Amino acid sequence: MSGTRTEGGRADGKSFDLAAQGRICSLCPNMCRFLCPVAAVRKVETVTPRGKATLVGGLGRDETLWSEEAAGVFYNCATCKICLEWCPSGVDLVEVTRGLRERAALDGSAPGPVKALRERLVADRSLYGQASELARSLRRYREMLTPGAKVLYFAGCSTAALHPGLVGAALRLFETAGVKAAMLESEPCCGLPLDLLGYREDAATFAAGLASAVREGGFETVVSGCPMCTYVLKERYPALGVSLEVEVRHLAEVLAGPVPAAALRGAARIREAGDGPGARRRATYHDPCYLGRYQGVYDAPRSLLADVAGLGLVEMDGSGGLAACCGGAATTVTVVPDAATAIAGRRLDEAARTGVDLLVTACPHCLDMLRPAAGKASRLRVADLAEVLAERVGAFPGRGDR
Amino acid sequence: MVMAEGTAPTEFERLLAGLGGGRRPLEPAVAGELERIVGPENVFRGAAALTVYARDSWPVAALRVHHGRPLPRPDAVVLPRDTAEVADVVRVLYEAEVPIIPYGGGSGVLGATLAVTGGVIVDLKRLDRVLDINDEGLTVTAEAGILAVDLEKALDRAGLTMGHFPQSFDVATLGGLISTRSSGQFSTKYGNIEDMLLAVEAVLPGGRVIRTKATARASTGPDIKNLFLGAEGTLGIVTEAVCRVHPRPEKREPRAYEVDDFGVGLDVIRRVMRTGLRPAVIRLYDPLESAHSFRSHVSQGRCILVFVFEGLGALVDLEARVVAETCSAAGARDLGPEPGRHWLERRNVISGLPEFMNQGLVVDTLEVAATWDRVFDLHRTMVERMRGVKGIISASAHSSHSYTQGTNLYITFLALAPDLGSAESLYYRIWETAMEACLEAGGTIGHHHGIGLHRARWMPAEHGEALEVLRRLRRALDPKGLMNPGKLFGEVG
Ligand SMILES: Cc1cc2nc3c(=O)[nH]c(=O)nc-3n(C[C@H](O)[C@H](O)[C@H](O)COP(=O)(O)OP(=O)(O)OC[C@H]3O[C@@H](n4cnc5c(N)ncnc54)[C@H](O)[C@@H]3O)c2cc1C
Ligand code: SF4
Ligand code: SF4
Repeated sequence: MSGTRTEGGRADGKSFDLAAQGRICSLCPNMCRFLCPVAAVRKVETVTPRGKATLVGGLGRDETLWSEEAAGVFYNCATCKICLEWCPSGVDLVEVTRGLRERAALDGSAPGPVKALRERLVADRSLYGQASELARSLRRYREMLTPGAKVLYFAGCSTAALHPGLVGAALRLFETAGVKAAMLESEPCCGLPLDLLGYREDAATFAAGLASAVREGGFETVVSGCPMCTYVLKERYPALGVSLEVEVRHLAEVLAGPVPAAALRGAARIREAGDGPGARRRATYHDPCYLGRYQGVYDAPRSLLADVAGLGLVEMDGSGGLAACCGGAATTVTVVPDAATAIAGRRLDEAARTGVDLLVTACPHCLDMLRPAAGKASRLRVADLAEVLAERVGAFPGRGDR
Repeated sequence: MVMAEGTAPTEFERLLAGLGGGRRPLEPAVAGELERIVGPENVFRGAAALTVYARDSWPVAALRVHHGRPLPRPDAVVLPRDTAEVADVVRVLYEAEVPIIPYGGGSGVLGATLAVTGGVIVDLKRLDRVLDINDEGLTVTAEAGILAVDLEKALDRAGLTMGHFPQSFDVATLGGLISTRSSGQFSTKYGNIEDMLLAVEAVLPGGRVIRTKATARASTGPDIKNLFLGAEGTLGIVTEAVCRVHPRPEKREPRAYEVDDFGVGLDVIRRVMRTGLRPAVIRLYDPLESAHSFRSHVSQGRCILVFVFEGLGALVDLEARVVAETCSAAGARDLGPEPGRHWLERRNVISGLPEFMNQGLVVDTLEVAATWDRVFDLHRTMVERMRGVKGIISASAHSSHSYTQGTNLYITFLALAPDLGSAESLYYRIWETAMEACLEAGGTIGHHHGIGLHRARWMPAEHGEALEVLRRLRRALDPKGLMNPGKLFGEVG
């Protein structure tokens, strides 16, 4: 599977300026359009990669084109970066259009739902109700934490609010793997939705707040099961002028390390000895955009699923670097929720075609998109990596999960 | 409206002015009707959407986008969901005398979707369902707005293939491929789109829906479905099609040879085609293209000949053997499977083209065809004449779709204008030279990209008196002249 891509760069590692990227894209025959999830469900030419680039070029010359309509186009992007993965010219549309989302955020031409989301976030410091309330709901896991530990487990607001069971699962996995972890008293939002939607200053404020909490705790590593959180901490904080000075890793990366993985395998074997082997179950793995294409983490979750959970993996049509998006990034879900749902439906169809009955992902946002898409009717169970692993090693899985 | 201020009009601007046909703004009542039919969320009238829909993949449109020169915008874009909605949209627009421009993937390279007199673009991509895959009868029925890649994926899951793989496979729709008389890269075996199409459903200019019958063959008068092959939206909108499909090939094998020159290569192809065998792919590159695309495989000044055989295992083996014998008799050097593998892998990667254009280069391709007795001369005449145009950097060609009676030439040119302002006129000068040379050498001016806006001016020279048949047909079907004005016939109204 392919490695990490440099942001705004090309496969060969050379980077070139975003304006040139936009121009090149507007001159391209739109060759990647078939992979663009938003274009696939919305159909309208405007939202295709070349459509967006054509508009970027037009805006550079004709100010009168700028409007709420034009701004809306740049939010009609799942920020999945599959176009970049495919693009022979190395055009990074998400970066090319970032400035325009920032402009829309600044001058108020961003779509209504975007503005409402920002208000809510700034007021609550979380995507889902008050951050302080989320913190209260996570107190029950306190006994599993090690005060003074050098590893900070950062749940992220989606996990804390919508899948608190994953917090328990992650902490049990740490315990089994011999990783000592602590959590913050109260977790503020990492700022990614604000950054993505164009509210750069707000995002920087959020980033500074979280960074100082991390520094005060004296942590060496931040681990999260949410790839959006780990991405923003790793890559965007520096761009926002905030330095974190700690290592940031996704849960899968940490657990797949040689020592934790060996411990987890051991626990899984003991459990297997008790339960009897049973048939080797088959599953498929959905690469979250922000874990795969954004951070180059493709192998760690797969090796955990195969070696620890003992699953036989069947790949979907698009996997690894060319894995289709679930529709879940903040932009599409907020601005065109119907399109986001349709995108999730397409991904679920791909998963169903593998013929397996378990679809595993490693992102709470993907879980949020794919689970409802599977609904009650599908025989596909959609699960997060942490819960699948926790079940396997006999750790307490779903406490408090919905 | 489309003139850049303070400069002399370019060829494109003069062409638009020459077409005439003043534009009227879209009446609010008509726009309201469109919203009622397809839902307001599927009608786009904002400047942003109209700017994007003012272009397709025609290099002049791209050049103008690049240079910040205006293009004529449509007045609205609608995206109907099904045939009934298309029919209602067409009825309303026809009654209100608003030009109607069908739009598929916008991958056309001759400006066939440009709204030269304004009007409404009908984007068909929401008509994207595969309606039936009939394995026993080897047919597929699908809506016209489906991308070729999605259709092929559905067939692949059923163990079938249409065998239609244009390079724009990922961006073109079934309706667009029918409407331009397209060719796929595997056409030598599977045929071109006209060999695949069994029946169409179409909305005629007034809004009436017609369907032709899917059958193995018929002797029931001129074939009505054929009218829509290459009509480029001027005779109606294709909404559905029934196409021939094939079992997925059992075996695929690439093979390449080096020949002394282009003429020897053409002769090898001619001899292979005479046997009645049909390799899926036969590509002969002239020395310049051989050196450019297969640098590590071929000696300087020589030509590479790439084959891909596919189908039943025994047939593949037979084709490979006959080709090997023919090549050996012609003194060709066997290059093994590697160059063909390389081509199979890279064939749809268009790298370099947008970068070249961004550096101010003028780049385009044009495709012509001729019978065997003329094709060698056609290649020489066209390439030599084009190389004579001041500003041209290169003109080169390959043959990629072969027949018992002849083959095509796919010509690529690269040129550099002294300044931005003259890029467009350099483009036109090269094209004029190429088309005139083609006609003079007895070639056909278009093999598979269609006519569009750009090539319409050479239609009278191509068809002579016979063009009158098409003109009358157009007038009979579209008396108000509202269907894709300016395209194919170069006429408005
Ligand atoms: C990189 C690249 C490679 C290409 N390679 C090939 C190739 O290998 N072979 C080849 O043949 N072509 C090729 N083309 C040209 C182009 O892809 C074809 O002409 C294709 O058929 C256009 O399909 P579309 O859906 O994009 O149509 P559009 O460009 O949207 O429209 C083309 C014409 O068809 C009309 N039209 C579209 N849909 C309908 C409909 N449903 N009913 C009636 N009229 C309709 C339009 O009005 C217009 O006149 C290539 C183009 C590019 C950019
Ligand atoms: S992102 Fe790359 S492949 Fe896609 S349209 Fe732009 S330049 Fe072309
Ligand atoms: S990032 Fe994804 S959604 Fe956005 S333009 Fe590229 S392919 Fe489309």
